[in-house]
Amino acid sequence: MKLGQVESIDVPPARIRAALLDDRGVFVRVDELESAEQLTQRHLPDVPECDLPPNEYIWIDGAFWPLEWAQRIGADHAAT
Amino acid sequence: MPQHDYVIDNAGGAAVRADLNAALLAIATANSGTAAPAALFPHMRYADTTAGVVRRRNAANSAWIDVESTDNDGYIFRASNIMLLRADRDKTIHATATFAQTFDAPATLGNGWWVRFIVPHTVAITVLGTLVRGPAEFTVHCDGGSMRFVPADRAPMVTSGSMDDLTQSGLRDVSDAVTGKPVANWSHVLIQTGHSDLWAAQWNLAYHTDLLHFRRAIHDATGRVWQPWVEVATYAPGRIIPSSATAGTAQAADRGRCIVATAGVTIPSGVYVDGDSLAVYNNSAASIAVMQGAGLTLRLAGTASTGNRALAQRGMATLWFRSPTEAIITGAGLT
Repeated sequence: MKLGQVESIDVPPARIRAALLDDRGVFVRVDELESAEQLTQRHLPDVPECDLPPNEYIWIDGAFWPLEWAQRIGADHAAT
Repeated sequence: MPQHDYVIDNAGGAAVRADLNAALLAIATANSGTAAPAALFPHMRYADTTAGVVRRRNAANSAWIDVESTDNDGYIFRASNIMLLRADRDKTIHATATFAQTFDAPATLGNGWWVRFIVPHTVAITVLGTLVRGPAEFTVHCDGGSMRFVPADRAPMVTSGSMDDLTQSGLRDVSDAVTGKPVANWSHVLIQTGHSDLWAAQWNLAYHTDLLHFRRAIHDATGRVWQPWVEVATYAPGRIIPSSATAGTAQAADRGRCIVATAGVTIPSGVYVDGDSLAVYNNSAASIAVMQGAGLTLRLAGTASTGNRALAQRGMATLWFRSPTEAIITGAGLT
């Protein structure tokens, strides 16, 4: 390669990780997507990692809450 | 294990009261236990009694963050190495003797873990492979993948020892930069300001076989690059210009020395640079030649003459290099 010559480098496209919710808003898993175009309304790109167990936590107001706890709170509200 | 799911179940009065008391106890004791609580909430605290750290859930409730140690001891005197663990985060280690400090793996210590070191002037400790002689104060930080030095208040930090110490310090380009020179058993001092691998400036002085060498690091887009060692001075008490026994053609190592010759000496081209100097002493009872090597212009000071010169018996000549291809020679007994 000559001085000043720029070597081309194949840069792999950046992959996107995002937490996936089901239609109730319950955490399912973390998806790794090829591009931002593959994000859906059920993805949370601001949550690229999550150590919670699947199907036990619901996304409410920017955080995950225990599903059982949230259901109990909702039931208590309905009863009062 | 005072932990709770923070759900008060439907039950009779006594059972509900017991459930409430259990929930309050979990709150009061920071959900302490040997394992994390089963029900996790945003910003929830958890005293991990296995690791010895208090942890907190992040705002999204998607991960734990180590917050502080559960230990009482924040300032520790150490005379020997005890591996530093997650529970040692934010502590001050005051070394009272010389030892080599070890750390748990960065992935275990986690992002944000750090400790501070105090090294008195009578002590030297090895941290991350670098020998640090007191007095010194610095911190070691972990980003979850690597460890790094941070001098206190960005004050210059001086480390010293043998070159072997330096090659093990993570500055592994040392041996590559010491072109043509031995690297073992050099004494050196490393002065650096700034932060770890982002040092604002680094200077390195090394002493080897009566010669003082200097180099500095430059920082560009590719990171730190050490410039080649430059021989800057001799360091031998009472000897300002040390002698050289080179015979035949002068060598790069003769820079700053006096070649004690009994036969002709050739001054080569392309070996020395602007500002270099050396001397030749004729240690014989007969005239010898100081010869202009191929590609070199050897000028006789005070004249327009160039080329080979004769140096009379016991004569002494000094050469100063204006460039790698041009030298000026002057002296007693020189024609």
